[in-house]
Amino acid sequence: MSEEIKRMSVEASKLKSVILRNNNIDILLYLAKYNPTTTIKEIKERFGEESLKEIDLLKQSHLVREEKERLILTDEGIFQVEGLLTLVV
Amino acid sequence: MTSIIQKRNFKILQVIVFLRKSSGSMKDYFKETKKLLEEKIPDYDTPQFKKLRNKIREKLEKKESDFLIIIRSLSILILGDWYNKEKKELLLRIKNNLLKNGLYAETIDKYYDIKKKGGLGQIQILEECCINHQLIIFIDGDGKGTIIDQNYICENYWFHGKVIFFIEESKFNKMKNDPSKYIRDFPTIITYKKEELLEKILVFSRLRLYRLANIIQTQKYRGRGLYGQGYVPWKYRIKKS
Repeated sequence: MSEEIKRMSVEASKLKSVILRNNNIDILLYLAKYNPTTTIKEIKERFGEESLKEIDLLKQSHLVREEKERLILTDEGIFQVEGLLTLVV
Repeated sequence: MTSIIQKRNFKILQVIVFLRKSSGSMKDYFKETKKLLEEKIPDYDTPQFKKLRNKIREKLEKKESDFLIIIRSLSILILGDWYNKEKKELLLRIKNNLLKNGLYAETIDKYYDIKKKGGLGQIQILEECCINHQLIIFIDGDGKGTIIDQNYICENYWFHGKVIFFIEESKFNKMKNDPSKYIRDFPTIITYKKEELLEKILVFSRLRLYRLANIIQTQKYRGRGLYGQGYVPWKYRIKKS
């Protein structure tokens, strides 16, 4: 159980730091607004070359997934973006 | 310290209850929520978008947001009969009710898509699900799949701590005095009358996950347990005594 708690805590901290990195809040809000038509190319044009690295981190955190060159917000991603908006209600 | 955490948790709960009241019943929570997000989020390239992003960043950078992140990173697996339309709809209603109250929940059917692609069997799916979810809501049933789930969970004791078993009160009353019945295998049993099931699952899931999130947060802040430099695991403490 203790190991499990440690793992959960690390995962939650990691999730928070991934969301806070660079333009990731913008990317998540952008995807929540314009999905499912957003392409990776479009994200690269909007948020710069470096956003590709961020996309990989968002994928590892299960917030987005790639499908035929499009970038899709996952169910977990939708749930987390909704959570972000509750912070500013 | 504890009272500050409790007050903050209560505030989060109030926000969730507000959101719950503002949303009606829905078929697919994620599709509906996505639509709501599209409406709520301003167009990109507008000052409103930047303002929203800045506000989120500001709140998220504060320690106070940790609890919300922890709660939203925990997940619930709902297991129960889904062999007919009525049963499937019940599981969906339970899932949506948890989601719209800020608790992430999944049903096992999501993992059956994996089965189509990768050919995972039911036991392999259960292995993956039971490890990756922090709470398992198990609803008593009579379907073949539910009995496999039940046997799997009963044999694997280390999952028992994260299972809450829900059973209809009348069925429980018939079995409660007979310890040879299968209900003995579940350490946490909650009985329900049909119309109470949704509410009871929400109440007990929320209590369990908030407790877990509180433990995670308290251990981290106080430097106790695994986070303290002087932490000694129990197996060593027992050996020494």
